[in-house]
Amino acid sequence: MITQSLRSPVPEDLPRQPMASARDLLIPVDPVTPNHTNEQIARIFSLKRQVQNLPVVHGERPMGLINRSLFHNMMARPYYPELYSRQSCIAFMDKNPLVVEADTPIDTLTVLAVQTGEKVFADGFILVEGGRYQGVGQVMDLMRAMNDLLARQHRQLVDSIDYASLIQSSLLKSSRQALAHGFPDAHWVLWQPRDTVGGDIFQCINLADGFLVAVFDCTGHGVPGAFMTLIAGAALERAIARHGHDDPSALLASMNRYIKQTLSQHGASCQTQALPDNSDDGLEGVILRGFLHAGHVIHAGAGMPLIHIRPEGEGHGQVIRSERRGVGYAATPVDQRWQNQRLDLMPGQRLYLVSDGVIDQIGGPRRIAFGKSRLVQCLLDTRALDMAGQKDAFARCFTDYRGQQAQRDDLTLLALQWPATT
Amino acid sequence: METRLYIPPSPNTPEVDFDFAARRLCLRGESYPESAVGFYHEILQRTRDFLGGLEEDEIHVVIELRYFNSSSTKMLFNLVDELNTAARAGNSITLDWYHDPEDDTMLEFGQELADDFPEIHFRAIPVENT
Repeated sequence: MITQSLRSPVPEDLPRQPMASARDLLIPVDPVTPNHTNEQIARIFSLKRQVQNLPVVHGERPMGLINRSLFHNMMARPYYPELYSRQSCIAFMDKNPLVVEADTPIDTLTVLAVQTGEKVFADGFILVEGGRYQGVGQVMDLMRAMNDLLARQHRQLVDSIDYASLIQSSLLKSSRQALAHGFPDAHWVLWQPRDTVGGDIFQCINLADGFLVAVFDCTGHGVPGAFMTLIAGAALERAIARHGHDDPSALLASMNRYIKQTLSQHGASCQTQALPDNSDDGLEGVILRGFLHAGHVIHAGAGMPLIHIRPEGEGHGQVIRSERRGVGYAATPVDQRWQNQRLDLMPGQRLYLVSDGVIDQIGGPRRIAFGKSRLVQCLLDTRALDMAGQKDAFARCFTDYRGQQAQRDDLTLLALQWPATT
Repeated sequence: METRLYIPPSPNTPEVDFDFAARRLCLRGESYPESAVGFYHEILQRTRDFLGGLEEDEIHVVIELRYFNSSSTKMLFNLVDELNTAARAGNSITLDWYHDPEDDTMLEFGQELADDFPEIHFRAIPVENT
């Protein structure tokens, strides 16, 4: 077998890693010509047991392929040996076998083989160089080569995303540390991208008189989602540099302008006309500024609710809705404002920032969304547990509900317990 | 004018059955394609072309979705926005929004659509999952 690198079918700026080609599958088989009789073909088949298909060539050009079992079936018919033994072998030849150039890449060859249909499994294909006969190939070898190719490509993709996941986790590290420092034993985070990396991100910064916490659910998941989280992180950082930490509404508005500018969404205000090459990306999120000594938070949300659980007595859960409009996105005006809301908190009360991956997850016997009511009920039912205990209990409740259903989206649930006044 | 747009369902895209000739547009299943813009672009384009050619017509729209991700949500808004435009232009548009009776999330989204697009005759229809 000859192995060598080959050119790609489409010219590219730079040569890519060479892909295996049809040449790698070549099996040299001495061809026959139309001058061979069926009697001679029968003899060749009986002498060369391993040959399943005999190519027929005229000069150096392939004409067709004689399949062993088809040939024997024909010759076993009554009177056929008498009639055909001395005739040209083209009588039982497939006149339209798959003929491919030896430098055809494996993936192209696979497409051609599928188009050829079922017969290719038994007959295989003929390999030529510049139209001149070289040998034959078998589908089993092609499947093996295609499998290797896919496995290699898949491996590359997975390795690359695994590494991206390390980077994304590192970006969350400072926020995790801030939470651990600012809310020791008084927070928990469930952060689970659907595809190793994702579009959900959380941020936490400790401040002299409190803290700033945010959860963003960016467009998309997987790699595009992860790209967006980088833009979201940069947008928040710049917004804080300009507006300080105390006005979540101003921060969302600033992020909106930044995202639209970064993704060149200006001018595309009518989103229905947007072509696929225009960015229509953005995020839903909540930014929450906690004033610990004053005992309240100021928060602003864009398409993401905030959940407030009061554990006293019977317990009380409230879903604080936000404005629906997302940050960024072509349809969101560049001067969009989101309202600040104030919420007074008592020690022991809990706040939850949650992405729609949690709320919309399909599951349960009716195969419907988890939903806000079920989420609030679950958080109420587990309000007496400490934070670590509640995280476990929630994870169990959610996993049970999800059952056999696939995770539909990235998941983030960030929980905070309001600390005792110091 | 083209008469029908049919896209069979897949695990992450809905069944699209837009029978333009019969004035009946149905969307069923789940919607979380890798690229919502890619999936919905042609659907929106063809729907827009269809609606643009109507005058004082009656269109029946059936949406029966179990799950859609946020980028599909935006595409749905765009679709309903197109319908609303057609309604404002003098056509009668009925949107039947099927949802599980216990699925608050889906009902809530339907109601948001109804609030945003008052020109459309919106009906929320609870149906038990089979």
